[in-house]
Amino acid sequence: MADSYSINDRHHLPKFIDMLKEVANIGAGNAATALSSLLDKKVNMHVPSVHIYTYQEVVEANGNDENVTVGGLSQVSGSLSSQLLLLLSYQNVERWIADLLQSQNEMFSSLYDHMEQSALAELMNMLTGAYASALGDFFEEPLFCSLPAISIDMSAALISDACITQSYDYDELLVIQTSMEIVEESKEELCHLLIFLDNHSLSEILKRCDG
Amino acid sequence: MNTSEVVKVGIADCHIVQAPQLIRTSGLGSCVGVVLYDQKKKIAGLVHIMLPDSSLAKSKVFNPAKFADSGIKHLYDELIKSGAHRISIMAKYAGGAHMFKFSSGQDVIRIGERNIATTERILKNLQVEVTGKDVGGHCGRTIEFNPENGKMMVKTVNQGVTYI
Repeated sequence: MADSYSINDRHHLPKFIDMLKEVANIGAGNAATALSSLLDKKVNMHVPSVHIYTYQEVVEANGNDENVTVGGLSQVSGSLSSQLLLLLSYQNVERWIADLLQSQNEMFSSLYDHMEQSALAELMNMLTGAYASALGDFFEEPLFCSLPAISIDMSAALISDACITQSYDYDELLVIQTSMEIVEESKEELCHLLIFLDNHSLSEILKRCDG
Repeated sequence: MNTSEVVKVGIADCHIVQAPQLIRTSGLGSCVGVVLYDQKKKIAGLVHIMLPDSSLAKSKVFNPAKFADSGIKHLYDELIKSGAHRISIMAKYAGGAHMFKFSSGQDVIRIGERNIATTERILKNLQVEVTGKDVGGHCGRTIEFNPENGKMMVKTVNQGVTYI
């Protein structure tokens, strides 16, 4: 058995992707539950898909590269330390934050304002935390997620910036793609991408999947 | 209005165009988009680099367009092969921002600043005059260069469009 795995080792992949799908499914379930209780609305979740993408493919999966996107970058600490980048559509987030503030009898002004930024950090934190805890539970390792750093900008800029420390070694990334929808509202779906950014801990995960 | 063909350059990618074509790259974060052009011949090349230094690449075989040092030299050589005159080559570049600020102050290495510094150094070594730049800050940029007039459009989400 190999000592280290890389996402570039193609022949290991199908089995690992199946296992990671399992983890992603639990994570997305956690995220949908948390979101539903936060917004006090029914949330439907679709089965997540797991991909290995090049940078350019990640950008394309998120739609147009100039789409204004909300990104949250979290540091995960613990034995599977890593970074998670969560990308959400600007329009969706704006609507959610407006709803959220309204439920607290606060006025929504702009996603760039103080109150909105703080609500946004909380929302992103909840979502990244949902995935991190699923990952931790699956591998029976406690993982802690830092409050995410938030940036609202062109998707390509966010993705390349977050990925940059990995790109010395690899040209590909692990991406979990999920979509959810709030049931009682329009059919509008929230797609989100979660990108796993640390190939060292990814190699650890792959090793554990194999064991 | 303007129906010129626009050639798109992806992340860690490099292309050369001839007027009336335009050349564009989208969503530069800490990456830097470097344009080298020959105004008389009306040709221009653009490289979208991600990292400063190719000596840090783990594998021997790497994509030169990914790094500032190898990418700019590669573009320079290709531009000359396409007919540019060494002495007329000039440069414009943009990018090198810092997108995510952690409240703990525990920032990821400031790659953007290092990309800018390496870009400056390589252009100086090649004795290429820099005629315009828009770097640093905290916003993503899209750039589009027109070899016909040597103007570079810089677009950001919050500040709109400027020309340098």
